[in-house]
Amino acid sequence: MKLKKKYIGLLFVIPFFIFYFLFNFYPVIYSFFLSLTKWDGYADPQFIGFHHYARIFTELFQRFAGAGKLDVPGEFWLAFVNTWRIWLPNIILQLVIALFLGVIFTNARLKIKGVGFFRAIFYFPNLVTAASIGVLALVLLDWQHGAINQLIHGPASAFPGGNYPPAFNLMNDPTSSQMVISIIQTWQWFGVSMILLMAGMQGIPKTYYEAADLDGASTTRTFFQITLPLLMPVFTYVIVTSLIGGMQIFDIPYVFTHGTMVGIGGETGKALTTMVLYMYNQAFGLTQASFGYAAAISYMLFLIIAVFSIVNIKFITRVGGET
Amino acid sequence: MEISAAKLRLQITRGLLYALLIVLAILCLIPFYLMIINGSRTNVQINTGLSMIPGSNVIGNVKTILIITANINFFTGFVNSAIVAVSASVLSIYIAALTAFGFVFYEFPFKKFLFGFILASMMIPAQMGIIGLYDLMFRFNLLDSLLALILPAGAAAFTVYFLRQYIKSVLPDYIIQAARIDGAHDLSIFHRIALPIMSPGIATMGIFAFVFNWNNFLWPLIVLTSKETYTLPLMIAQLNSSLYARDYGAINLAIAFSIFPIIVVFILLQKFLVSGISFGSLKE
Repeated sequence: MKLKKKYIGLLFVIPFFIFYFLFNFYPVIYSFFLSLTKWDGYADPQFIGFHHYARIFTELFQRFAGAGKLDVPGEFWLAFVNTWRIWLPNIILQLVIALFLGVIFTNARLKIKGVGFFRAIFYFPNLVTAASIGVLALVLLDWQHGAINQLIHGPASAFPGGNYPPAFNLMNDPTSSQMVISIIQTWQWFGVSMILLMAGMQGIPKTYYEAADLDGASTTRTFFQITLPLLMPVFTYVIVTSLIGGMQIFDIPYVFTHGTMVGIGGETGKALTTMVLYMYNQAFGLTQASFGYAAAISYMLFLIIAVFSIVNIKFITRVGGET
Repeated sequence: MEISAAKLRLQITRGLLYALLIVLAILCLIPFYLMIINGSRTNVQINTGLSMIPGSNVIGNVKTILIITANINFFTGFVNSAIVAVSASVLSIYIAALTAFGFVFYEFPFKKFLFGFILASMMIPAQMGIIGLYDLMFRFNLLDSLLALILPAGAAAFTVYFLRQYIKSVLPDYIIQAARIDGAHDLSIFHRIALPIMSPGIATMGIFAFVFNWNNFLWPLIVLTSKETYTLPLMIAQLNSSLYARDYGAINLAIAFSIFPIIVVFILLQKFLVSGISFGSLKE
């Protein structure tokens, strides 16, 4: 009877672990094996050791050595730089907006009303299908017929004979197209960051603020001396989760580059090739079928996320510890 | 006099902040408003100018969507998405609830080790095993099948972690003990007592699972190859890329259809969502 009891708990958790080992653990391990092979998806994988990783690291070295030259090899590192150029402006902008909103929503003197209402609306873009948002952005930003250009120049019918003023085509330039995605990301995520930072701010004991008030500390001083240092753990959480998601961005770059005027081969297409899009193109693109190399890219992605998460956590705890 | 000057300044600050908040709120919603407006206008109307008033071409745009998606009905995508999102959510929640219940109320061999596994797997990005998973689905002959999207949902580590914390806070041990003394057996205690008490936590995770699966793009894009199995996001991406499909009215309307369930979920259940987001950052 006692022995039987011991195994009932196991029966409750076994279904999960069956799914987990089959669809999660095994594929992750098997992907590592595949990353050591040359495999086109049909014939048997050929074992080639760490060749793919060697290629990626050699290209990193060449990139450093050939800094300044334009056609330095290293597609993976180009994808790496692209991903960062999309993620970094977004997280900075996102945190500034979220922090500002969090402060005014929780400020005792301002007593802003309708916090729940605004919070819900700011959060809404986050729920919406990213692929659909990508297509919607293309439609709204279309340089000839898009709503945004019409807002700036007025309707096309106001310019008879096709003399529509040449709008700047945001999708025809590497940097501006990256910034478009960066801003879409900010727009989709500032609400989430705001909710997280607000929850953190509400967790700070009121007595600190009361004491600061008694000492006659200004709002700015209270913010930098109390709110910000005590918010560091939530800050770390927001940045690390955003990093993990941001390094894996795929949907919108895919929609922007596949089956559109942009394409994957041109300057803009190359600039929008993020790490996961690069992985996808290597394995499932039209001409490629480099599954082994794609698997190696997915492991590099994990390595990069792990390294930067650790750096981030270390850096923030150090800065937080000093204040 | 000085006090009223300070009060006035506070009023002005407050007014400016409200103005700013309203502008931000408009920025959050205007793309969707324009989408709905343009979804009801003709391509010519859209090309000639911006409008804030709905048009009358909804039916025409629906027809165009059906023409563009030619041999396969766009609304099949809607049904496929619904099947995937609902089944994947139910599967992930049910299995996660079972697991969480097992971890809270039972002692068994390797318990700590197995829970450590769950925690560790939460740190692994989803993309890491994607090539291996593709190969697995190929071997199971599940490529181009909706099952390939539903089955992996059974391993939702974060949901287990969330529900475990949740059970601990809402379900005291003595209730389970009392049920045992009454002679109820373990699985019926789970179904009759634990599940109903856990329902708010289950709702929170269920909504997130539904939204995630409804929006999922990369994995369906890899697995699904024939249009009969396409989910909505794939249909939308395809509408976008069809060269002769530059009918903006139709594209806008299609996008509106694709996010309609998300809007409904948001309006009805947003309270659960806000509490669910903060969970991860505070309970660690």
